[in-house]
Amino acid sequence: MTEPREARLVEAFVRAADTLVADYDVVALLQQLVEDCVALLPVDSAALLLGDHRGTLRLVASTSEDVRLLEVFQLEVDEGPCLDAFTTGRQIAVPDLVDATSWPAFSTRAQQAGYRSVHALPMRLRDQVIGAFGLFDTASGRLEPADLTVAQALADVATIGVLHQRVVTTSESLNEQLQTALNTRIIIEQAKGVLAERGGIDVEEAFRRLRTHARRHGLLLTEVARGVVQGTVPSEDVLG
Amino acid sequence: MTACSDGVVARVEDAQVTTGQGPAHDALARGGPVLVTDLAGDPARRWPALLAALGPRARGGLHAFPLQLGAIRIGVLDLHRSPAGPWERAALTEALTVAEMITTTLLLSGASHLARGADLGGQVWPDEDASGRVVHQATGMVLAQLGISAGEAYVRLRGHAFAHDLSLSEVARAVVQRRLQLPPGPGAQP
Repeated sequence: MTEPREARLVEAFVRAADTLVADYDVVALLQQLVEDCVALLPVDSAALLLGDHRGTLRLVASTSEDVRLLEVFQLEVDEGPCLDAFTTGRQIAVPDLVDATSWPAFSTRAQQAGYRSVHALPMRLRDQVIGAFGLFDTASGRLEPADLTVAQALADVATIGVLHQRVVTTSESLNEQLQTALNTRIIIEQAKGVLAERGGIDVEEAFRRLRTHARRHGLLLTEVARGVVQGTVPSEDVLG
Repeated sequence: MTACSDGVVARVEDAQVTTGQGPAHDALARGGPVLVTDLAGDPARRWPALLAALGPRARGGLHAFPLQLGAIRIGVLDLHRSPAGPWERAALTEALTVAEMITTTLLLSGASHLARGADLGGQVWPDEDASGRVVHQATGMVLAQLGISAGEAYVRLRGHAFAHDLSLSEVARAVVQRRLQLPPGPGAQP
C-alpha cells in the first residue's frame, strides 16, 4: 500500500467507526462503503447484496444507477460470482470473464456492459453469510492480496453495520436487523420515485438530493425517505 | 382492527393495545420484525408495562412481523408460541412469507376492480418479479403523479399489469422510463 492510499483507508474506517457508534442509517452506511471500495481499490463499480428470508440475494447498494449495470448486478441474483460467494462463504475471483465458463448468462451480460473482471466477497459473521460484495472492473486482472484484504475489511464493516452490534448474540437479532435493512432499502427506492417525479430528475439525482438533505440537516436517511413517501417531509425541501 | 386465533394471543394483543408497548409496536416503529423467544425473559426491561399487565400470562414466545412494503405499513402479524423456545430457520422463513402474502392480500382486497371476477388467491403468492427496485421507484412516481398514497399507487401498478397481461416489472420499468403514465380514476380499465 502506498502512503496516500493508507491515509484514505484510515479515513474510510474512521468514518465508518464514527457512524457505527452514533445513531446511524444502515443504507447510508452501505452506500458509503461501496463508494469507498471504488475510491480505494482498482475497480470501477461496486455493489452490495443481502440475502432475504428465502435466501434470494437483493441489491441494497451500488455505485451506479446505470440501468445496464444494474441489470448485471441483478443477474447476480440468479447466477454469478456474488451468488457463489454468498452460498459458499468464500471469496471468488474472476480475473477475466472471457475465460470464465461458469455463469454463462452473467458473463455475457457483464461483458456487454463493459466489464472484464469481477471479485466477489462474502459478508459473513461467524458461520453465517448474510450477503456479498461485488467488485467490477473494465480491465482484466486479479486484485492484489493487499487489495483483497482491504475489500474484505470493508465487507466486514458492512456486515457489522447491518447487524448493528459487534457481537450478535442470537440468530433472532441477526434476522431482525437483516429484514429491517431490506425494508429500509424499499423505502428509499419509493422516495427516489417520488422525488424523481416531482423534481423532473432521474432516480440517481433523486438519491443524491435525499442524501444531501439528510446530511445537511443531521437526519437519518431512512427517516427523510419515509417522510417523503408518506408526505410528512415536503419534496420541495429535499429537492432544494 | 385485530383478529386473534385464540384466547391466549388475544390477551397478549389486548395488553399490547392497552399499554401501548410491546413487540408489535416496536416492529411497526422500527420497520422490521421483533422476535422475542420468551416473554418472561429479557424483555422485562424493554416493555415493563406490558409485562406488568400480563402478569403470570407473560409466557411463551412472541414474534411480531410488520405487514409492510417499504413505507407502506398496514399492520402487524403477531405469532405467539407456547411454550417458549427458539424458532427453526424454516419456521421463520415461512412466517416472513406469510406476512408478505397477508400484506399483498390486504392491499389488493381494498381494490375491488382486481377482486371482481379475478383469482385473487393466485396473485398473492410472493413473486420474484414483483420485488425489484424499479417496482418501488414506480410506486413513488405514481404516488406523486396521481396524488394518492403509496399503498394505492402499488395497487394501481399491479392492477394495470393484471388488466393488460403484463408483468409488474414491465409496467414499473415503463413508468420509470416515462413511457407509461397510469390514468387517474379508480384503477385499470381494460
